Amino acid sequence: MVKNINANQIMKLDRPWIQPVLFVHVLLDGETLYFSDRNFNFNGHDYEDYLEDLSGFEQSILQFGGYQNIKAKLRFSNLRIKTAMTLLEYFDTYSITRREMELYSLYVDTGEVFGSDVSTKLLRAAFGEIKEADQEWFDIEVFSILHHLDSKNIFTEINITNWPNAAPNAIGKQENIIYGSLRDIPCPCVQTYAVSTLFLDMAASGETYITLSNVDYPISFPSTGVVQIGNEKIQYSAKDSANKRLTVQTRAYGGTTAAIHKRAIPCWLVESPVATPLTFKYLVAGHQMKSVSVVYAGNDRIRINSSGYTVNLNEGGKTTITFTERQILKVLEITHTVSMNEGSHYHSSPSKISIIGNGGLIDANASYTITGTEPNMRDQSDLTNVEAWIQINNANKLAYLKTYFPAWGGPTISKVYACITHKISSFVGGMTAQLRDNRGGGDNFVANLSVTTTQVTQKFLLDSTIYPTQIWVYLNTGNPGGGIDIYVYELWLEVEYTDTGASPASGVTTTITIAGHDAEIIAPLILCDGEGYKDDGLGTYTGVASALIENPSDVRRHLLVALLGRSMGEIGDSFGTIRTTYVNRVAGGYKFGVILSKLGLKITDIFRKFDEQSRSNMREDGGKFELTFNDTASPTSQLTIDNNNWLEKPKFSQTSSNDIKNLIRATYDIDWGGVYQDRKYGDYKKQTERSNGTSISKYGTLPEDWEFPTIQSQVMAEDVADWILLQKKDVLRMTWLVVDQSAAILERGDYFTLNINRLAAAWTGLKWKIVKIIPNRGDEFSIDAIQFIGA
Amino acid sequence: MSNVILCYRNILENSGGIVTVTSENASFPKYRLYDRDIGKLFKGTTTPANFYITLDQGGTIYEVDRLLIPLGHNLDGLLLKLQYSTDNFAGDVNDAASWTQSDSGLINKTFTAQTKRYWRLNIAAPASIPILAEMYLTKTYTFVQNVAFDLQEKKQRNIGRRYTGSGNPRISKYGESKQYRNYRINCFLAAQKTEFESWETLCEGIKPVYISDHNGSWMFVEILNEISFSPLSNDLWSIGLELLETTTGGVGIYLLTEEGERIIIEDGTI
Repeated sequence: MVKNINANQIMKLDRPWIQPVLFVHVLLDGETLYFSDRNFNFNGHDYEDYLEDLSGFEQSILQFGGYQNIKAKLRFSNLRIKTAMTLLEYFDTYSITRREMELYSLYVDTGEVFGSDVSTKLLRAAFGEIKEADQEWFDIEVFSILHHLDSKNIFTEINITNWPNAAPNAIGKQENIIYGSLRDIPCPCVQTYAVSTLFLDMAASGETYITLSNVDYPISFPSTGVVQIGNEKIQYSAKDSANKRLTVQTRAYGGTTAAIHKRAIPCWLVESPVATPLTFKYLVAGHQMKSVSVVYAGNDRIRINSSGYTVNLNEGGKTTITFTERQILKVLEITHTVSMNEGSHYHSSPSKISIIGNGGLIDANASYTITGTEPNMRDQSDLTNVEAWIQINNANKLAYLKTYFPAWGGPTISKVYACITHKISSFVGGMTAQLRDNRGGGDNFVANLSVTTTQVTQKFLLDSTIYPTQIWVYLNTGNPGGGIDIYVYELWLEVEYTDTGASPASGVTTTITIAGHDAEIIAPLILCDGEGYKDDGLGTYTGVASALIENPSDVRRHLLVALLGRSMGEIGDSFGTIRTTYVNRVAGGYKFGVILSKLGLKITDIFRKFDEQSRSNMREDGGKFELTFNDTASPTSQLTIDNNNWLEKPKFSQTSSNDIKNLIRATYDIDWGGVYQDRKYGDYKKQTERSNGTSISKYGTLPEDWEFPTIQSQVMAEDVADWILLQKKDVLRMTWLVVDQSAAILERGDYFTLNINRLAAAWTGLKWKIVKIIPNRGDEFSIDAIQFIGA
Repeated sequence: MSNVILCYRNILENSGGIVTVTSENASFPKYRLYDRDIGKLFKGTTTPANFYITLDQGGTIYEVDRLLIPLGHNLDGLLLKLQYSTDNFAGDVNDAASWTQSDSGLINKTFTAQTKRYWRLNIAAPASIPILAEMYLTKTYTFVQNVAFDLQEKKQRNIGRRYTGSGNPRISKYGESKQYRNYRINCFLAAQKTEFESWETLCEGIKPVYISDHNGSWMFVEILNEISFSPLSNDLWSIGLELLETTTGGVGIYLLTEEGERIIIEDGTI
């Protein structure tokens, strides 16, 4: 896209003689200074010669996306101005640091009077710091307006000013800024209350104190209130910080049942003051989202029944999820009694069932209903109650029912059986049901479950004596079309162990731990699926009112205008053009799905990754943000350069041979809710590889890994990886040359044709992409370019 | 060949003097009337019936006989009066010169020499806010001994010239050309030497001055050389003067070397 230059100026550029004038508008707070290296009046402004040098504004873009900062500085004459004795003194009062400026060019004829503004805005930039100063002059660094955006803070940290009851593990995290449709959005807990674990066992009655691991840290219990331990609520009347205990006032509070409570299980505040139930809140995004669909809890991402929470898409401009109960995995204690001299079967009880409220353990939109109660789930003697009834009526969903067991504390194991009592109405399509376990920390297939219209109990011998702590029913629903019922009555383990001969029978109590869930006690992990920013009612960013903002062009535009405060007038027409390219490029179009802060906290880092992951370049030119897409179709050449317009003949080189890569391995569809969010690789759900056989034949296999966290679709990931492969599968030619004023029309990202003789026949007539251009004084242009490579 | 005229003192600059104006645009302040930068403008903010630019010379009162206002003003068509007074115009108001300006070029008005404390320019009924680059109220010094014939007169250009690969010229004009004069004045007396010394003392080699050159053309010039008096006899001196016009475009275009040194572009060469 060439510069938009007035016809008056084009005429002057098309002659062998020119009179270039460069001038700037210095945009201070409340006033504009009109400076040049001479005094003249133009377009209603008196430009004054406070500048000594305006040349050398070097602007660059990067090959794979992003941009370098401007390499430039302005040299000011330190003359008297207005009420200040020197310009430097004036800038002491009216700071120029981080203020913006616009650079213009004007080509004139002697004595010419202009009837209208025919100048060309070359760039908008910002001032940095003074580099050199003496009595006569001083230099001020100039940097790109895009880098200037780095000074803008768009991220809000969760702090105790805004969220006085935020969980410690949420403090200091950035409030999410979300674009596009995402799964497993991690939601920091911004409203929680005191929680600890029992330090001493409690009997069902007669206890004076609830002795805890902590009562004041990290969140302090109030002096009075109601706590919950297991299913029992207990009102307490005092807190003893020294002894870390609460004074019991009322057991079985609120209609609950008094029970035995074992050491290490959670105890959490549920009312304070008494009779004021507490709610627990999670922050999905620091802005209004378009929607929040499904909510999950815990590292196992257990779907929560929608009746258990409330989504507020606009709580003071933010999106929150509120729970009336603490979302914590209820840990149910079990004491295993192992008769040391029995030596045969041991009928193991599950230590806990993953349950949220009264919800079940079904993932990803499968419709389900849970009947029965937790004790029934652990009661192998009762095979009549339906413990979990899973009704599948959605296509392509996975479901699983997971059961946990305590670590084995008995004698040496000789055999382990995974047992299930179930009933499955039918299978349709490719549907399967499997029993799986987690031996060795893995996901191990145990056995396929068969269709049975009547209840059946199956016992499967595991192929090792390693004792799993979890077994589960895994359902790959395929495309059942609906109407499939899965009944799971029991899940349990049976263990054969060596008879020690000990007598009489002695009990072995298996210690129940909550390993793996410690971090969740204070603020259990909550994730959700949702859609980020939506357009306004006018469709300002997408063209459609209230539409999801996910087209990479729209995302950039919204980020620039709505978050970074730039004006819509600064958004170039290319955003519209490239938006269409994104829509049509691959099936489903280019779409971003991203939690912004995960890309980096610097705006330039974010835009660079946007560029890399959409094979594009965004830049500032002529005071506007412009966008280009790196296509493989032959581009339009904006200028032919040959010895009639170069002032210094082209020099050539090639990209580094060390950079040749012919196997691009790209991971995409990042697991935003993963616990290894900051770890490279292993946190992505998908990966694709693109290679070039010709290059591999020439150079051997040279792999390179790329991460595409904003991409969720395979076709988009492949399309982006293909571009990278195209650029890297071999060395590319580069050139540097100086061109006369005919190059004034060119911008970064534009293509030109270069005709050159006596170099190499194949090199003449090639098209080159401009990656750097320096408009020296407006009459000669230093250009760095890289060879265009087609598909 | 005309006698060279030198006007080096602008009494608006007097250290004890006070300049007042009817109104002043803060972005184009009144000190620009006497900053010896004929490119930067003074602007008022009002269009009263009489717009005054008034000078109180203070304790040291100099004689003046000429008013120079460079082009760039907007006084064309206006009735102008240069007035002086002994009582700050309370009752004593005298016109040194009065005229209706007929163009927007250099205003160059001579009048009978006066040694008065108070002076003012009266701009009558301006239709637009008055704009002036400089108000140069001065004493005329005409060289008694004119410059010698071996003078040098030329225009110094400010252009760049390069050639494309095929040899076509590409010529850039970076700023206006400037008049250059190289004069030698021979055989002048000690009295004139004192005048030159007074000029040097006042301007210190850094302040441009108005001259009327040997062609009778007025220009605002800087002196490039150091003033050096060469004695020809006991009471006769000679001097060389190298003068370069300062234009409204400043003194030139500078480029920076990698070491940060400034190089002036002259005649297309760096």
